Amino acid sequence: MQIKRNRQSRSPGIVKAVVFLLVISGVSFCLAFVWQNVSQATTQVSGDNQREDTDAAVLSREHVDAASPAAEQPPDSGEESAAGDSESRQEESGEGDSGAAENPDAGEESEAVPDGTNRPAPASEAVPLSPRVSNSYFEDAIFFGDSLSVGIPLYQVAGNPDTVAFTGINPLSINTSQVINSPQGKLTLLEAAKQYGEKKKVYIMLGGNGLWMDEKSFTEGYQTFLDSVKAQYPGAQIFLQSILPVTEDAHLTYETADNDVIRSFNKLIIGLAKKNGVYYLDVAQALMDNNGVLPKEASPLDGMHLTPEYYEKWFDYLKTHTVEEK
Amino acid sequence: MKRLNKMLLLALSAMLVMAGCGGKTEAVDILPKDAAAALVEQVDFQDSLQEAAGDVAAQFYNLDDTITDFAIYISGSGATAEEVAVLKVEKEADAAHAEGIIKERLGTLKDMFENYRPDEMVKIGDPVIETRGNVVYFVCTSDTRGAKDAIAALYS
Repeated sequence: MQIKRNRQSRSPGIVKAVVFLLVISGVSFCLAFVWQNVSQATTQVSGDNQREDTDAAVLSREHVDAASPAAEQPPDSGEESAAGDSESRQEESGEGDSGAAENPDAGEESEAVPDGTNRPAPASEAVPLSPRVSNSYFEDAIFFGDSLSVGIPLYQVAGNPDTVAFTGINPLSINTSQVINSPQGKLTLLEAAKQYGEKKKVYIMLGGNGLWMDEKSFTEGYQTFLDSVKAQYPGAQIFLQSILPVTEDAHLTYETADNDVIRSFNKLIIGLAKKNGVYYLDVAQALMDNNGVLPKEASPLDGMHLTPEYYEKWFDYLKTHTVEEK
Repeated sequence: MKRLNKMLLLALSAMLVMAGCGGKTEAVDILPKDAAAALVEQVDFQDSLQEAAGDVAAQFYNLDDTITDFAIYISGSGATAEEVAVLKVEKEADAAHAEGIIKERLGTLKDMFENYRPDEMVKIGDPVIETRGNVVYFVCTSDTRGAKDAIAALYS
């Protein structure tokens, strides 16, 4: 009986001890859990603030640098949204600080943004994001190009700016081919453009028909045209637009249509922009999907030529990537 | 059924473009805008054709004052040589001048596509060019039979 009584008297103590331990464990677990969440939240807030600061700095710098052509722009002058992480990385690494004009390879397009997609990062040398302008911005502009630019007047895009374009023209043929009908006979694109008088902005989209060329011919032909443009429009802002991406199956219609080739030729155009102190517009960024290609819906017919909706995207990009006149 | 629909469309478009003729087929007053729209509707095209605005069309075709009225549709994407043009002149005697403008445009299309998309040369090499009184029609398509039928239907 005594033993039993002793056991009875000990039992509540053991139970209390066990309950106590359980309570302590539970409280500790809860505290640890709460602490972990608080830490994560603090880190997140801190990171967000840091990123906001970075974005603000980039935007601020964009406005400062907006009047600098490709040769003068810092490589981290930025691009919107998807490239945010990439920008931060470039800023940290100081990539291209040595001066892109001296080293044509410095600051070139990186292979992909680290967002889990295959989308190439925006060209760091491109004109950065700017406040949106209206159609009237293009009233003193002229557009030169190939079949893609033919669609500008046809679709009456952006108030139908003056455009001189010819299907199939390439960086070589644009210099000599007299293909534009006029009362004076057949004219080259630049000759035909004289009817529009003086211009303050010149937009060029050229190269999509030159993907078969070797780099030397492409660059020399493009440079010759640039020289002629600069002579005809002294003091004008000159914008070299990237060659646009194509769909994955565009090669079925156009043998040389390949996005890797297009990217490599766009690097040549970036080099030309730097060398000539003119602006580069990475229009391709506005049209490609997360795989870095033109989506099928943009060009259901042949994988290269655009629907009216994608002309709007193209010009939305132009309207938000401008530079102030000096 | 599809053929029946097409025939009905042809008949309807003929009625539309003959709106001012008072029922006399020999005095059909063709409105280029309606006629071109009817051709675009009835002929088979690979591409979606876009009507070119007046000044743009005039530039593409190098039109002059001899052409009193016109309507021009061009490959919207720029990917094909497909086009429709209806040019009207004051007098039948001027129709040859309009034909010359069409042939010049055809030469331009050849310059554009022969190296760029050689497969389009089939259309450029066999265009439909017809003159009916003071109106000249040009249809660049692989559906030449359909184009000829559609033009004929405008006068039937």
